Amino acid sequence: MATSRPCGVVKESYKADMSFFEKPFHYWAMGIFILILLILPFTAPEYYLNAILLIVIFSITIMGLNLLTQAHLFSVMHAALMGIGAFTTGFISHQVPFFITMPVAGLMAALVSVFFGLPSLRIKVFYLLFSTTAAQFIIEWVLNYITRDIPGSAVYTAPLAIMGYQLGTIDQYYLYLIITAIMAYMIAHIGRTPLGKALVMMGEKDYAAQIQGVNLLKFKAIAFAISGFYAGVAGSMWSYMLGLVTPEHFPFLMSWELLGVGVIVGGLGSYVWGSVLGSVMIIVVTQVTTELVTVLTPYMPWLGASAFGLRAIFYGIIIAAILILEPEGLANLLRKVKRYFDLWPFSY
Amino acid sequence: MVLFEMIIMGLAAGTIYGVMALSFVLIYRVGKIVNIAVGDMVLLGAYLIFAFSGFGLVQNPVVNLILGLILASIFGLFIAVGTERFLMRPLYGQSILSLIMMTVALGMILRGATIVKWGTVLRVFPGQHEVFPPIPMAIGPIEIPYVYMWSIAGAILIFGSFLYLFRKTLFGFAMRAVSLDPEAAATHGISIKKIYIYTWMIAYVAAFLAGLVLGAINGITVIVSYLGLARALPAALIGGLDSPGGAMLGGLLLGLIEHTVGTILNAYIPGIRDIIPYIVLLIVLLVKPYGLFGTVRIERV
Repeated sequence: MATSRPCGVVKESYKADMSFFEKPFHYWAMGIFILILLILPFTAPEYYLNAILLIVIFSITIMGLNLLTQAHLFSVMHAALMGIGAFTTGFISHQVPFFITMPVAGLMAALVSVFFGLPSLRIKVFYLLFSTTAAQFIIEWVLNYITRDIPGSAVYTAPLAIMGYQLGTIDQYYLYLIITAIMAYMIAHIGRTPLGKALVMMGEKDYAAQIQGVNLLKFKAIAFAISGFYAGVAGSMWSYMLGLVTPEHFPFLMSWELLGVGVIVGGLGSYVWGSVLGSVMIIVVTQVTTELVTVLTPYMPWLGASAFGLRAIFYGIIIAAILILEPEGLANLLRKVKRYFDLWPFSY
Repeated sequence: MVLFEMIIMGLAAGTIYGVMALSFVLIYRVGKIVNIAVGDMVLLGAYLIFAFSGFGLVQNPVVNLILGLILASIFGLFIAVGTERFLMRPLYGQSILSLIMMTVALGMILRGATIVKWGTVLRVFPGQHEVFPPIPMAIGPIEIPYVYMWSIAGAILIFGSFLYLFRKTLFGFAMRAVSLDPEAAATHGISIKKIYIYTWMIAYVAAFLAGLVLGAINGITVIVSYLGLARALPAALIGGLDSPGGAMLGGLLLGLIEHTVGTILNAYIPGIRDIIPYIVLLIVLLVKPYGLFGTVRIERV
């Protein structure tokens, strides 16, 4: 973004002004980041690899949710949308390969998302929170109802395979990384197209946007569709990772974690890095509490089964702290650091 | 006769939904905060009453439970002060999303604290069987479980005292002034901070009362928090978000729909009763978003 331009940076063309990488250093940083991602599976133990896969999956959902929240369409049904993606995959994965199931799962979730998002034309802001809360519970109930005859409501997914070759965890990691890169590239570009600008404008004042020629019905539906598609694909990836899905995997709380920790803590409006930071935050807190409880239980036996509660407390404290101290989210912190090093050793 | 009994049951259950909706509406009316944490406040109330009545200060189980409720409410006043002072006050004047997310954070902290302290085991109030006998109480031909008698009595008590406070006293006048225009109220010497703190206190006490009844009906687990949220939101919305009287009416209507339509439909589609409140919520949002008594904000869209 060309918002903060330090002295010494001179853009000679519009193309340079629009580029994602402002300085050669950013190319290098990106390259090192990708290199770290590539060698990560060989250094991290299997246990952490699962956590990294979860980070990847959540970051895709949060990208879509971030776009939606940027247009001030607040949704707390994204866990359920992930559930729809996961169940669609679970039902059809035995017949068709993954590169068909994933888009189909995304489209299913997008359809449901648009259906429950259409009231957004009439209702605003927090009323939309209510309607999506209702949507979350209704979808959850429908999933439970569909699977009521299956023992444990568990739907098994076929293992991930390309042309009969079964993918191991590390192959899966690379595949997911590629999918995430494509999704991130798409969302970053959506943010700069007329569609993205219209969404930001709708977030500011939707009737002002309408005066400027934004078709509210169309754009709100598109926003919900894109967001639902991202959630559906993420749910599909989740289903392949775990091998089975049950409705209990996608509770109401997860929706709040996605919106609260993922979007708000990560950074609203920063589609790629904010989302990634948000999802890192979600998984890191989960891992840290799990290990904290494991370590502390011998000394404090009453802690036993309360990892779940401890995690909720940490999430609450993190959200509260971010809202008070850094309302723009962690992405803004990253931006500040970047700016500091741009100008180093001067302070401005 | 069965239908008549269902209606009575629904109205009785509706009173407690009304109390929860009152807790929600009050915060919205005075502070313009959408309080998502209402369910978790109810959950905390149930656990606190469980803890305080567990001391067994009095022999009589009924008095013991009431004493537990009073002690829990006194404890709740301190939590209310903490909530307002440390979580809400730094955010006044910021965007509505920030305020909502802060109540979400509050809810997560409250829920997490109860899980860490009391675990996830199902608990019942001490002396549950003496206070709320499983045999329904018969008034003439109608049978009502004892819990609902508590619910009706508690609702009348808290609603009556709240309406008196809100409509007849100087304090209630100040409260209404702040809800109408905080800045103008402040120039007339009303301490907005105090009003906000008192509002949170009343909301907590109302939620704790609901916690007693919901905990007695379902047993005390985390589920109570979802039940609380699921009933408080539609009830508050039916009445219009900023009308305390509408909240009670909304609660009664919701209880009525849940216990008549829900029970009848449940025979055909098993389990649909659990999501009846959400379906009601969606329908109200689509048909009449500002509720029966809510202020209609005129917006050209």
